[in-house]
Amino acid sequence: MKEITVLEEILLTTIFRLGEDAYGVSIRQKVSEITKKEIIYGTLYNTLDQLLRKGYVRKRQGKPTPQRGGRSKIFYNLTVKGIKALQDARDLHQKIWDGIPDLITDKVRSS
Amino acid sequence: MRSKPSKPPRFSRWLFSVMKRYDEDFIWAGDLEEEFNQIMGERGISKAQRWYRAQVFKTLPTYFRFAMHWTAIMAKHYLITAFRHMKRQKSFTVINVAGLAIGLTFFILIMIYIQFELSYDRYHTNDDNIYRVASELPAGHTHGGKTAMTRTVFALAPALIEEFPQVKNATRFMRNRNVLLTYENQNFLEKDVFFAEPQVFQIFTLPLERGQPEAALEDPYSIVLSQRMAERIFGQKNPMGRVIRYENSYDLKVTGILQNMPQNSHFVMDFIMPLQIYALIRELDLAQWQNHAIVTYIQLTEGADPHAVEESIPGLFWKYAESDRQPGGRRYCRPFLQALTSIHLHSDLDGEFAPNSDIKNVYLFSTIAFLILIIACINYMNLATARSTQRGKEVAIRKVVGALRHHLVKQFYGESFIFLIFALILGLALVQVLLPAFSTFVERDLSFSLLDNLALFFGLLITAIVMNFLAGSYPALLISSFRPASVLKKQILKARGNRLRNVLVVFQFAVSVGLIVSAVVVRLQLDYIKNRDVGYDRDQIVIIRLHDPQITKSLDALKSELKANPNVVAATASDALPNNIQSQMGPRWPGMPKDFDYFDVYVSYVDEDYMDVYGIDIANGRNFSKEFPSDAQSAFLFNESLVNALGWEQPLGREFEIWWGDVGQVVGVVKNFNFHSLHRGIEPMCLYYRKDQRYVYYLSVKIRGGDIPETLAFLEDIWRKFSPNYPIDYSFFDDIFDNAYRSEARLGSMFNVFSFLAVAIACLGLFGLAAFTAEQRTKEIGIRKVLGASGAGIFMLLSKEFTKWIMISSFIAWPIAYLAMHAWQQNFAYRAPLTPWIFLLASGAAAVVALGTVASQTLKVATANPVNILRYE
Repeated sequence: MKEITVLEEILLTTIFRLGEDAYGVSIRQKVSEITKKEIIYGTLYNTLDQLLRKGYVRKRQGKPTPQRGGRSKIFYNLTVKGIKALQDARDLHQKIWDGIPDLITDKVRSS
Repeated sequence: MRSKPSKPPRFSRWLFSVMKRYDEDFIWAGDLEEEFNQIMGERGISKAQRWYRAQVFKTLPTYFRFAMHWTAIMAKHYLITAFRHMKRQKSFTVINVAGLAIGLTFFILIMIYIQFELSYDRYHTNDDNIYRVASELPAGHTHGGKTAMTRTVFALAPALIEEFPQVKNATRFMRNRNVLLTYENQNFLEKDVFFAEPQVFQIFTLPLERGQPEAALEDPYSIVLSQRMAERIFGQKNPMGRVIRYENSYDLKVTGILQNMPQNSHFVMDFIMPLQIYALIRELDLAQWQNHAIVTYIQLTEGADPHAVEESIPGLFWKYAESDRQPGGRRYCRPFLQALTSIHLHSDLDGEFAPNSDIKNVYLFSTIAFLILIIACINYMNLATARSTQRGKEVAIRKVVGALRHHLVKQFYGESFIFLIFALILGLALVQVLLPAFSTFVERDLSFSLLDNLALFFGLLITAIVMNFLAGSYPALLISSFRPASVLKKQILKARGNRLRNVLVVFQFAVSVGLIVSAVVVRLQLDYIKNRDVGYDRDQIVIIRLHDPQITKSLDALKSELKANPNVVAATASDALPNNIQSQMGPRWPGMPKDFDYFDVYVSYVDEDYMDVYGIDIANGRNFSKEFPSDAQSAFLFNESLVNALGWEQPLGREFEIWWGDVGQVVGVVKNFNFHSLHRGIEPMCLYYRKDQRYVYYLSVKIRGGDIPETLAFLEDIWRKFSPNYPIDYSFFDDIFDNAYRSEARLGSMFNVFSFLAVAIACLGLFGLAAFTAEQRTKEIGIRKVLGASGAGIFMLLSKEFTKWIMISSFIAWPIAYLAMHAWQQNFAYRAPLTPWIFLLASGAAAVVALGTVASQTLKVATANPVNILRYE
């Protein structure tokens, strides 16, 4: 089983969530929303490139639009391998957290 | 009104485009724009711009990490490829590096020289505020052939300080030549001795090693020496307070030791004495407004306008000078200011302390330096493009595996830069080796240290970059444009860029031919001058300089003792030598019409043996003679030119007047002789004679050819007897004569060197090109030979093209060289004819060298056995 980084994990889940509408702007905004941090396009595309190379996502070109200076959107969606990787990551998380109650987070919140 | 911006910030956009260029599928350009527009719509332009900026700037670290990584990998790879190529094609590499290195060496040498020339007098702290007050002579007058002089009137300096608030300070200089200084019975004949006022140390930056600058010239009987002179005269002893005797009559106390002045000064002072003592000795009135006899330097206040000062100086002449010396007066000399830093390169007046340089030399030198550099660059270009076909496969493969054109361009730029760096290192080493010889050649004390000389360091850096651009661009652009498909399909690649290459070779040879023509013309002109009959003898005449003022009293005795020796033919005392008569006056005689037009009449003070020693012919009348009592008072010999200028039909027996007022008869007319260097024609001149010879400075002795060393020893013995204090100072007249053409002789050798270099570098390139052409056509030649072509025929075939180039370049070079050398010859009154064969010879020489170079390559192919060539197909 291959491990993926947290950022990759976030991206994969985001792309999954956005479904047909996953492209640069929507992904970035969604990720920023989740992490509450402005994510930089440089970082975003760096990671997307990695995911492409690993074969977890696949890209396809949309139609050019005037808001984008006549450039077309590049849409991303998960490959089977990507879904599998996401599944693995989820399993891993569950294993890591298994038997640990919500106490810790509750404690932190209350203190 | 500025329209409301609706675009991302300009700089960030540019930065983004730079990053995008690096990676062609930088796909987030669209995303960035879309979101920018979205934010602008929701939150306004400034928010959007801030967001955009943050996005772009924060990407920078990622981008750099990425770029560095790949650059390093590629650079290493390119280096390896470059070195492999250099190794594989050794002769190509050597030719290329050698050509560039030679070009760079001479470029650097010349730049060092020019830098030195431009640095003159800049070491003074006040350099920008110091001016010399020079004077322009009245219209129609000349002094030493010049229309202006460095001197002005004595009283001007104090008056300037007094009346003009912008003039902060002023100092006056006198200079004496060949002065006898004595310390404890040791005599020193000093060539240059200065007299100055104490302000000299305030105006100029002349630090004293010992002594107080304010006090050093206060006492009239004091002297300041330079360190080197103090060492020469006093050795290791403390010089301060010691006493030096001046001209055997005044005791001067050493009051200061001056740090040696740098060579880049238009005057170098080794001895400074107070101006007061000069006035004392010569009984001069330093407050007079008549004679233009003193050099004056003024220091203006910071920010003062020199033109305003210059324009108000004539007012002082209105106020103080006599009427004919006031503006508009017959003897008024217009004062003007010369910036201190401009003197060395721009001033050529009568009375310069030493001959200055000329800005034209700086231009000429730099032009030639750049031409040679360009020739070297062309070499590189030609060889690199000629060899480009051999890189075709490499380029094709690179392109196939995904190299973009700009990658290849970068690669080839990098390669030419490696060549350049090698050449630069080699050139710098050569500069170190050649600098001493070059310094001697340009008569400057040049030094070179790249680390101390930042201007030169950065200059070279920029030169290297520009050269890389010049030499590397064409090969880089050409090679990177190859189409992989046609290369790999083994379509025959023609050596591309032929036309440009031909143009460049033509340029190279045009420069070479031009320089050869120049070298030949300078050489011919010098020979022409040296062999021209100037109207007097030059051989076997020894000139003894009469520095001892006492010796004029015993001249007759000295002459008769000299003549007692059978090896001495004749001896004569005169105030000037016949190749350079400087004194001048206007024509004057009793009863001269008032409205007679002024012209310069040169005059030389001679004795009756002058004509014998110099073999000057008398055309009419007789020589001076002791037998005519009237000659003892005053007598004149005119030259033919003066007779014509005066328009006297019968000059013999008429009266003429010397400038101080003595009147004498014209006893004869001498044939015209060239009493100036041949830069000038023959002007009106008279020889003057009287019994008591006070103002003579030269004793010319005509000797027989036999045992010259013995005769010289005899001269020295006699001299010691008559002038025990003064060491003998003699030279041969023909050397003095040649000296007048020294700058031309130097120009001649410069052209020799540079034309040789240009030809050598051009031939290096040609050698490479010929080798390449021969190699390319090996098969063609093999077939031709099989079909019966002779070796000679093949040679002709291969050389035809090169011959054509040389002919074309000749047609370009000839008119340019003709115009340039014609202009140069205008410096001379007597010019060697510019015959066509000079030009043919130059082209012929270039052609022979070029064909020789080509032959070394083509003969190899032409004589090869075709079987060997054609076997491998």
